[in-house]
Amino acid sequence: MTIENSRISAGQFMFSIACFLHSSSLLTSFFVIITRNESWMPFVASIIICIPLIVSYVLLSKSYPGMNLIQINEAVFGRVAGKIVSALYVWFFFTLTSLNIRDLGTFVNKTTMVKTPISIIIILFLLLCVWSAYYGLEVVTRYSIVFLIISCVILFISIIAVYDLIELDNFLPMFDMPLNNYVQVSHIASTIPFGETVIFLMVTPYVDNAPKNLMRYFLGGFLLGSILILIVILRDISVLGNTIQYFSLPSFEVFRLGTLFQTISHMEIMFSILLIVLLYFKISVLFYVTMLAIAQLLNIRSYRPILLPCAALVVVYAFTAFKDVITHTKTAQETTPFFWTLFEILLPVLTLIVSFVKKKAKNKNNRKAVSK
Amino acid sequence: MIVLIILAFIIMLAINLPSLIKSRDYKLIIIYGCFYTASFALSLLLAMNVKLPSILEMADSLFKTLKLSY
Amino acid sequence: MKKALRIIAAAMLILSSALISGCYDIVELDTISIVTGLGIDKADENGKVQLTVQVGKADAVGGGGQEGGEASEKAYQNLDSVDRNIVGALDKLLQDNSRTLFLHHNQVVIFGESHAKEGISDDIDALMRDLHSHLDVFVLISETNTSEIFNVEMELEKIPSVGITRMMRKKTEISEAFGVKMLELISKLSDDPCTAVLPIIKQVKEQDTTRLSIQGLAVIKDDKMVGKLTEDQAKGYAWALGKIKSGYLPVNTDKGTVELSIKPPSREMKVSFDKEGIPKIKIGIKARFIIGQIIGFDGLQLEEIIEMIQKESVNAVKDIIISCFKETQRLNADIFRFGCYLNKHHNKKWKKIKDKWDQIYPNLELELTVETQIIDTGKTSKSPKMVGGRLA
Repeated sequence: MTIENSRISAGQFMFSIACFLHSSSLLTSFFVIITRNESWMPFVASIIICIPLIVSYVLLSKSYPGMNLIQINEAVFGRVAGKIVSALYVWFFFTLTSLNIRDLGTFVNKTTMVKTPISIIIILFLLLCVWSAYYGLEVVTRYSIVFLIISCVILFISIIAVYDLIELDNFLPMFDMPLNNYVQVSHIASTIPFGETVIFLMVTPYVDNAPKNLMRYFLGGFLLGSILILIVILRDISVLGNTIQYFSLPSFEVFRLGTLFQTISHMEIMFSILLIVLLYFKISVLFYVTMLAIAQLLNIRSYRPILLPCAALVVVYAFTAFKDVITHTKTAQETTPFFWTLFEILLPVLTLIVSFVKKKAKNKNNRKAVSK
Repeated sequence: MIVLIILAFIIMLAINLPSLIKSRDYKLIIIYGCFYTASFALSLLLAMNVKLPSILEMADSLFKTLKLSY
Repeated sequence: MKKALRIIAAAMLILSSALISGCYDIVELDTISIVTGLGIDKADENGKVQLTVQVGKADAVGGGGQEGGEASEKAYQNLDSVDRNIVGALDKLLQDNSRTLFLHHNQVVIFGESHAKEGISDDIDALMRDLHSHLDVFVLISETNTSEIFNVEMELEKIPSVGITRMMRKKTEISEAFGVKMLELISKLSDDPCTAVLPIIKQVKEQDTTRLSIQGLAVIKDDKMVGKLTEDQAKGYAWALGKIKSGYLPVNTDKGTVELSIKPPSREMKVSFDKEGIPKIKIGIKARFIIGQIIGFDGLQLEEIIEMIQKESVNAVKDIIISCFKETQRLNADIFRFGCYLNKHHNKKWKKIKDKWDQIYPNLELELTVETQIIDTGKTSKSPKMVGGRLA
């Protein structure tokens, strides 16, 4: 049965992946603090490492055309084990939604609206996400191109604004830190921004012209988004240099330093707008995917009625996930890469391997039946 | 605060219930009921400042004991 | 029934637009006082700091075009408080003030000299952490108490701290090295060698008026102020970094003096290491000048003068750089950041000598190669006293 009736174009698909990834460019402080002015190197390494990962996602989707991730799990692992694996995925999507909306609330509270209680900000945002999820996939991903263009324009303006503050000297010294730091940052970068694209496996069956050109669009979106993040990291390092280790929002400080034509300065409001817009997109895609996954798992005809209670659960989860920001950052640097690896790398690759083995066994049986 | 939560959940019921009952899909109603009571209970507990256990923090300590961390 | 629900929903939407305006965080312009300058001094009581805050009055500056009657109203107000540290002092100011202090437009931070000698990194931490403070404020050191500096009226500027900012901008036109913003200060103090320079501001009393003057540089090592450089030594510092853009260099010969107008030089730095890994630094500077004034040189041709001047100017530039270098060696402060350069470009060799840098620097060898070129002579080519002129 199809829960989701709308179809999105391949271009929309590619740009929503790019927009989804680009929204993580504003919260790079997780890993930039560890490798400071050399952060771009492990980042490039993680882009290269994640390309085969994306290829494996697309192969998985192609081998079961028209089925989203939950349906694939059931087909591969059987009914009971498939439901357990799907439940794990549902919990993962849920956690991602809550953590991201908590980040958004914390950011808006810290920088622009200092006295507003975080719960009000989160609830208002989530109501908007509920509204867009109500109308389905096409509405959720419709504005991806517009948001991406806006963010590229603001990125370009910011580079012009800090042009005289850029010092290429800030990239030296290179290879100064212990190897462990580089490995850690590569791991963090592959799981926290990049690995989250596994959620798009829930969306792939609804893309027009799938599965023919899926590889091109998935990889294209991934590369576009990741290169935009790389440009942001390069800009931050070249402006801030070794002071990048102090700030929890390095891009915010860069926007504050920029001056355009000696009159327009302190442009952090543009950064705030950009962050809110991009994070909103990311959270609404995550929320939609979570609802679709729950509906698919529980085999109900539509996710619309359960939107509001699940939104309330997201709010509760957002507040209880971590005690405070410091624990959140520390966990994100230390154990979250391993935890997310389970969901983003091990499970999909395991699914792929088991599906290959099954197909081979089926082919063998078919050949035996034919030869008989 | 608690009053606001109760009000919000009553509004939620008012929005969702008529169309649910009309559809006569009992499985959906039961699932809706489960989610509704779970979220209602957890929100009230959160508003009353009861410390809810955090799965992520438990996973964090699990991974640290397994030495799978940086 | 449906229509009623729609009306209720519409009413709720319209009401919720009140939430969108961010009513929790409304800041009206008449509830804030805009801080334009911060001064941090050592207080008379032990272990406390005195914070001086200069607040600009928006209406007084805006309506300043009117003459007479308004002339006696000051466009600024100085507030000060004494407390254990900056954050406590800012907090205390709220007690006496009817408005909240708005640090967003702060333009200058001045540390008192006695306070700077005890360390400024704690204050920098507070200024970095605060949400509203910016990293592009100018940082200065004042010889006297900063509250006196903030009280000096400037003729052409209504608010002294704005005037100080403008003076700093003029200083950076002489050399980028003279104007230090907070970001640069933090960056320099975070990396080996932890040294920086900050411009010094002082009051100059002449007859019955006082005015402000920014002269010289203060040398900061490991977050404490350890010494000062005079204006000439400061110029030598700018020359050594190759960052001097304007100004005049006097060149003396036995036949006369020439004032050369400085154009931006180009600079190259090379490092060679001897057997024990001790570096030897070679700086090559290609300077270009335009003749500003010729004093003396009676009866000589222009070409002869230029030849003499080119040789002497090489020595003049070398002298000015070496005097600055020797002063920093005496203070044992690597303000030219050779250590930083070694860290970036010769990383492995730097790691071996990093811990001994304090012993190496006072004996560091600096090899200077200066080439000068006089590219123009100004609007005129001959001076009235030279050959061919009527006064010869």
